[in-house]
This record gives sequence, C-alpha cells and structure tokens, in this order.
Amino acid sequence: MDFSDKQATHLLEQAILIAEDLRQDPSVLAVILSGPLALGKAPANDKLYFVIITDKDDGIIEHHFLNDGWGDVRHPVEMGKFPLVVATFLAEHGYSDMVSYKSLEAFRCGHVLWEKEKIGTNLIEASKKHIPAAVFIGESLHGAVSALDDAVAMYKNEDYKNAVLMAREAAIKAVDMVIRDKIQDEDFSLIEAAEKYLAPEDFSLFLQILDIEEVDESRALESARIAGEFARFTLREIGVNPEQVLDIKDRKL
Amino acid sequence: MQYTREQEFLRQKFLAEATELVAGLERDPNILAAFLTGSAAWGKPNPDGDLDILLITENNQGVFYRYLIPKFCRTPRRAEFGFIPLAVVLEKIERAYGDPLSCSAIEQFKNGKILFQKEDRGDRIIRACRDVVPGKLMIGRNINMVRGLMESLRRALELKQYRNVLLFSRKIMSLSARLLLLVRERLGVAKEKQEFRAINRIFGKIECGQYETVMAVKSIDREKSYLTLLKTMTLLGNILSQKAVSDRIVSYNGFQR
Repeated sequence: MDFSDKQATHLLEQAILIAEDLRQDPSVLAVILSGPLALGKAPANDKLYFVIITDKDDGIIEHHFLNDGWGDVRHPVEMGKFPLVVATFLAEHGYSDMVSYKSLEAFRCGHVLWEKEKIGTNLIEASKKHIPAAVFIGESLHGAVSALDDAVAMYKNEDYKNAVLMAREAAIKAVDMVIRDKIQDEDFSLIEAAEKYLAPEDFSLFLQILDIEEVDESRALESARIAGEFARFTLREIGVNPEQVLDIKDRKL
Repeated sequence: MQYTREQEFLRQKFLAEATELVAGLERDPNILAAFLTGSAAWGKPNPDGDLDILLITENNQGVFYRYLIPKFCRTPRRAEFGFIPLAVVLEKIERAYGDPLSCSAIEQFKNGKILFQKEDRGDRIIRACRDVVPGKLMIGRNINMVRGLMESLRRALELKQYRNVLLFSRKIMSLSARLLLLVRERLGVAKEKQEFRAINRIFGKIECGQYETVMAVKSIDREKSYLTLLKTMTLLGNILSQKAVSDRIVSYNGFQR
C-alpha cells in the first residue's frame, strides 16, 4: 500500500482504531481493511470497508452499513462479516454470482490489520486465483449486471420495448464503470469519453445498442423539441410555471 | 394484479418459506415486525428467485443484512434479511420521496407482506408509507435537474453534437416521467424498470408515442429486442473480460430467440 497522501494516512489510523476494537470480540479471527483505502486511494466521502472473519458456525454472511461510524471513529463504515467456513469455501471455489464476486473482490483488495494464524493472509492469497488484479468495481458492476438481468426477464415476459430500454441502461452503466476507472472528474460527456476509452468495436456496439449510430440533424432536433415540450408539460402538470424554471434561451426548444 | 395459477402457487410457496424462516425471530424482543418484499410479495415471482425479508428493529444499531445461503444454512433458497432500525424507517418516511433510497424503502414497505408484527407495528408502517402526502414530496431537486438537462441540451444543440442531443432528450423524458409519477400517483421510482413499466399507465396515447420516438423504441419487435440484448451481452462480456471478471456472474437463464 502506498499511503503518501495525508487523507489516506489519517483514514488508515482510523481503520486501525476500529480493528483494535473489533479484535476484542473472541469470535473474530481476522480484521481485513478493504475497498479503495486498502488499494492506497482515499476518495473524498468514501467509506471505510472491512472484512471480518469469524469462527461462527451459523453460515450466515452479515453486511453492516454504519453511516455514523464505529465507536469514536465518526466516518461511514461498511463491514462484511464472514464465518471462516464460508470465506474458505468462496476462496476455494470462486464466484458464481454478484454476492460471491463482491465478497471475493473484498478479500482480494484486502490488507490485513489483525489476524490469528495467518487466516486473513491466506484468504487474500487464495482469492488471487479467482480475481487476478486488485480492483474494487463490484458495486458499479452490480448495477450493470442487474440491469441486464432485468432486461432478460422483460424479454422473457415478451415486454420487448422495455427490454431494450433496460439493456441500454445496462450498457450505459457498464461503459460508465470503464470511464470512471480512467477519469475522476464527475463532469464528462459519455459519448466522447466512451469513444476515447472503449475499444473501437466496443464503441461501435455501444452506439448500436443506444441506437445513435446514425443521428442526423433533423432527428436530433425532433427529439430535442419533444423533450422540451415534455419538460414544459410536466412542470405545468405539477403546478410549476415553466417560464420561471427554464432559461429564456430554452424557449426555442 | 392478476396472477396465473402457477404464479399464485409460487407466491404462496414463497410466503410459506419466508414465514418459516422468520418464525424463530418473533421471540426476539428487539424485532418488531417482519415483511416479505420484492417480487415474491407483489410481483411475478421468479421460481429461482431469492427471498427478500425486511425486519424492523427496536434498537438503532445501524442497518445490516444477513445472507443465508442454502449450502451453509437451513434455508430452501437464498434469503436476504435486512435489519432496519425503526428510527431509520421513520426517517425515510419523513424524507418521503426526497431521495432514491427513501423511495425504494417506502415502496418496499407499501407493497410488502407482513410475516409477523408486534403491537400493529407492521400495519402502522404500511399505513404511514401509503399516507405520505404530496405536500411532503421533495421535488425541488428533480426540477433543478430538469433545468440542468435543458441547459445541457441547449449547449449540445449549439455545438451540433447530435448524439448528445439525443441522450439529453432521453434523460429529460425519463426525469419528466418520474416527476409525473411522483406527483400524480405518489409513486417514487428508484429503478429504471419501474419507470418503463409505468409509462403506458401514466401517459395518454400521444405522449406515449412521443416518449417512444425519443427513446427510439417505436419499431422494436421481438427480433430487434433480441439483437439489442445480444449486443449488450457481448459488450458487457468484453468489458468484463478486460477487467478479468468471468461472465458467469450474469445469469441469462432461459434467454433464447
């Protein structure tokens, strides 16, 4: 881990405090820091992610969202608690769905803060054969995958138009994930960034999926006109005067 | 909603399984109510689907989830138990449709099936969620987003970036539909699929036609839909392979022409 930046160092100190507290629980076998911080990054407003390995025999994975922090540490925390038997099974057999993928990804990014008998270290090592590179993309990947699952379900229900709309959402989420890996700036043009960061054949597929491969001026103007009308209609319907909301320049739309 | 005999059978099966799974939790004084949510409670359940259960807790120890996996636990299928403190539920109801998370929580409770409850807590939560009045709707943020998108649309037009014009137009249509749903039906939409399914209900024939024109789905039939899904699977597969992720995380069960 490279903790050259001040924010990352501060967060790591907080994480160590939490780990110190967690290890007091006799059922805890390892405390592993995960997420961007374990990869040496400290994005603003991000949470502290932990993987806790326990000796419990109930087979239940627990996922805690602690927005107010843990103990004296007032920083949002997300914590996955895995019985050793479940964690070992995942590390041996790999992933088959999003839950198992996200679990293994959390192990793979991990940095052991405390452990008994190298349990955490062995787990991280074993996860490498399933997830070669340490990345933390599970959350955004989940969005794309579940949108595509929804699209397939709609298609099977003969809801063909909505299946296409959902498939496009899945494509946008997947491409967005690629772009965000490359640029941190929130304000980017999807199409230009996609052209820059996708392989040419993938960019072409993306345009086809969105049905914007060939867009001439008249189609664009027609869409803009309808969208402008819709926005005005909606605002009026909800009791808001469009003139007060939309800029005067938009009136031509 | 009308269910086929098979769907009704599945719903009853899911309900019975969920009731059995939460039976022991009723004795826990910290748990005030249990709800079955998701498609098993109100939609068309997927035979291979999970059980989604929300439990309301008295203590405010943060939100957490427990995943029960058949291989390791005594459960007939994968089950997700969400433990939500009562204080958090009340806060979400108070915030109403102000943010997507509250939207999602309110919709889950509104349509959930009570598995057990103490002192009418479950009924009271469902009533409170159904009573969220339009006056409490926080639509300012959405209106601001419409304004921002209109500005982006105008810029894209000036720069003759026609692809961006189409994408911004689609976003405006989408957001407008969500605003209308919110105000007319008090329905907060957290997911795109809910929005798409509601369009035919909230719009008249002309508006639906316009929506389909901008979204470019007017001429979509089975074949075109199939091809778009296939292309999306290819694109996602390519992206996954660049990230060294196997595409077995996506279930295409039963997808065929």
